[in-house]
Amino acid sequence: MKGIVFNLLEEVVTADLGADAWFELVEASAVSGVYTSVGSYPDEDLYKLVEVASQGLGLSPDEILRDFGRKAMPLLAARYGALFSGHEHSRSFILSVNDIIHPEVRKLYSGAACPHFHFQQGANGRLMVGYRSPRNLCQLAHGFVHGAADHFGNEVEITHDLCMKDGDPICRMALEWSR
Amino acid sequence: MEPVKFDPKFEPFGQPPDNTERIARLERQVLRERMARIEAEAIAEKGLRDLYESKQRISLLQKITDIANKSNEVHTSLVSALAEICCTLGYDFGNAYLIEGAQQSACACEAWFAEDETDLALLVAASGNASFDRGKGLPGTVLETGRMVWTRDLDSIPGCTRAQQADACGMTSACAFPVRVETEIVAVLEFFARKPIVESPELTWAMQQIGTQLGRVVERQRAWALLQTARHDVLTGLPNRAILAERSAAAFAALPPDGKGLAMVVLDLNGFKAVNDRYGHHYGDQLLTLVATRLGRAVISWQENRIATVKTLLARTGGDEFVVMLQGLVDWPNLASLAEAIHECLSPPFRIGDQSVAVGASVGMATSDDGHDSYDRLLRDADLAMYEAKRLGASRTVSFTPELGLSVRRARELKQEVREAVAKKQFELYYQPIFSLDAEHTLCGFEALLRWNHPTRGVLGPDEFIDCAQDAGLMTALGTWVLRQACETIARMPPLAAARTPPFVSVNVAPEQFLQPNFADIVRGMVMETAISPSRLKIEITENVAIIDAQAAAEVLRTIRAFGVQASLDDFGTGYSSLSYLHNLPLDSLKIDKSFVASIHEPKSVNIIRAIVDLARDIDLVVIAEGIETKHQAQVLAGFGCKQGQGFLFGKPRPEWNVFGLTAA
Repeated sequence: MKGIVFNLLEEVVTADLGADAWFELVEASAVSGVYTSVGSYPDEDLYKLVEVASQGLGLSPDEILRDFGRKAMPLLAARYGALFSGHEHSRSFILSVNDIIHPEVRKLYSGAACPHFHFQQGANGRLMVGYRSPRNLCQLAHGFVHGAADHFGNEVEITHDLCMKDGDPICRMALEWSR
Repeated sequence: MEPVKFDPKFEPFGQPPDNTERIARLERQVLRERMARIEAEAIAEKGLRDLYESKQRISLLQKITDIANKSNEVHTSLVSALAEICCTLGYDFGNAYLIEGAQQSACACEAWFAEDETDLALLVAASGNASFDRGKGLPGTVLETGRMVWTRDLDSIPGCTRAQQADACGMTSACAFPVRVETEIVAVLEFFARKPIVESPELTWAMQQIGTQLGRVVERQRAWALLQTARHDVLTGLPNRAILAERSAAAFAALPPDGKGLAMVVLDLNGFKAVNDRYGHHYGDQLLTLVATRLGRAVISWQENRIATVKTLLARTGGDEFVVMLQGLVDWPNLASLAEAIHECLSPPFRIGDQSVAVGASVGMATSDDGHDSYDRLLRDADLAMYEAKRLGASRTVSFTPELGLSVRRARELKQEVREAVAKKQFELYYQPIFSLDAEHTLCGFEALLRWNHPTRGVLGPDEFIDCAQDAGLMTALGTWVLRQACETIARMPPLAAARTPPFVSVNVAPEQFLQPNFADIVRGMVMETAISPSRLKIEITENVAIIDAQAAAEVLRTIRAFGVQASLDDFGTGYSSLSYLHNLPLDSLKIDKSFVASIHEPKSVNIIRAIVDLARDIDLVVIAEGIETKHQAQVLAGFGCKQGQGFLFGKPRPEWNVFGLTAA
């Protein structure tokens, strides 16, 4: 997992619940807490943080991931404005994520396996987003999509047609914009 | 200047603060540290990203330079370059134009690449044979300004005719740049992308370099065309096609009424393209010169020893094609001895620099009779015989007969039928089961095998049409179809009783399909679209892919396996079976060819199978044996440690419904 995800989580938690909350979360999860955006860290750390947050806040891990993803988007926009500025709608921004992610991962680890979103145009302007996420990070992706729609002032409905957590071979979200 | 004043609450300066103030200070310090970290990260990230992008540009440029070095043919080079550029930079559609009419117009030349042909059908149709006047549309603007053009708004380009189609295909931006020979623009490449194409000086630089490299190919093709119009081939000093035509026409006109007295021998080098590809065209040119010298000597010596009355003319008529025209009566045995002399003179290896290379020739011969209405007809007969010789293998000679003419016509019809069969959906996949060879005999997977439901000839296997498909350039299209069908079959496969884990389906992939620059993307796309588990798809390749480009093959295998797709090496033991391929290609399994299984009673085969199984075990590959027909064979193979097998013992290839019907749980 790229360090930036942990940095964003820290920012979201701090903004929502205060600096002490992040401190408590890190210590209760027994993770290192040392994350920089130019490094990669064990996926396990994120699951632990989410698990502890879920217990502390009385929300499911899925809800935590979705909420985090949605709130992280404005922070990403503040930090990496250039990635957003070329787009007028969240649909075109979402279609560009592979181009954003691949260099980000590969610049650090050449030849590393990259997460890859597969896009298919569905009927009535629907966009199908396929992703192989054995650890259920499709909920984080769900939150990111919502956050992106917020950023561009769009409204989007997200349904999870397929999910690896339910035994499907891949995860697949259908996105339908009403604005 | 105002004197610096300390805030009274900090005085006296340097005194330790109370705890509250200390905490506040530390918090401010933590904040400063955090800001410093974020700034340092931003600097490091920018550096790393720039480095990544510059590496990517350099690798693209390297690939384009390779393409330009290897080819003398503009069209092929443009198609390969478009594919490389699109795949590296993530553009969806690339199209090339040649500049015609004294720099006044840019005409599309059927050289294009589309990431997804179906999605982009509208744009492809509008661009494939479009033509733009100077100053009009993207290509015309490049021609007019001489500069690279970028746009996020096609309507802003004067004379743009494709804004609507581009928009309908979801394209949001486009760019175009010139290919030059010195200062003259000779071609324009244009690209469309769904994502915004961001203009940068680095990218402009890379495109300029690409334009220069491709310009070199245009320059070479022009030089070659100029040589063609001269009367002698400058490279070898031999007469060229023009002289051959002139002399042959004169000789033909002087033939007696029975039409006898003229013969043509056409020879085409085998392995010349490989030499060119491997060592570059300078090396190839030297080789041609040496070949021409040997051929000249062989023809003269044959003439002196055999029939001094016959007049001969040796000409070079194409890249690696030569023709001997014989004027006078020559019987078949004598012609055969000329062919023999040609093969013999080419058989010792050629030394160029410190390399030694071997080339052979395919020879076709035809003699005139009253059925020929022109020398050209005679030359075409000899040509046709040469192609037949080439089909039969290296260093063969074939004499033209009317029956051969007929069978070649049939083959041409077949080629047309294969083309139509794709559109008429006459192809079907059959599936042969692969079982474990242990006591439990569980179903492990299936091999997908292509069948053609021919309207009049019944069900045909690939042996009967794959050469044709290859000749017709259909292998990639057909291969993509096969891959999609196999993935769809996996998606609808019900749970099967005989299998402990969901069975895989292995798909044979031709080298030209496997080495397309976007093959891994296509595989991933199909897995995602059909929503199957990638581990249930197995890609079967032969050693030929490694022979063509071992490094590229390993890279493709790494990518698809990282995604979870399996890979297998087919027909092991029949080709070069080099250990270095096994070592360098990341694979999951290898298949022992059925010829070893069939001769399993012979000690030699047993030893080979043992060696293969031992080797495979050492490098963690599952061994699959093909063509198992008897229980005895299965037992022996299992005893050697061969894990899986297929063959008539376990089941013949069957259509999908039949496989599912028999084995559904």
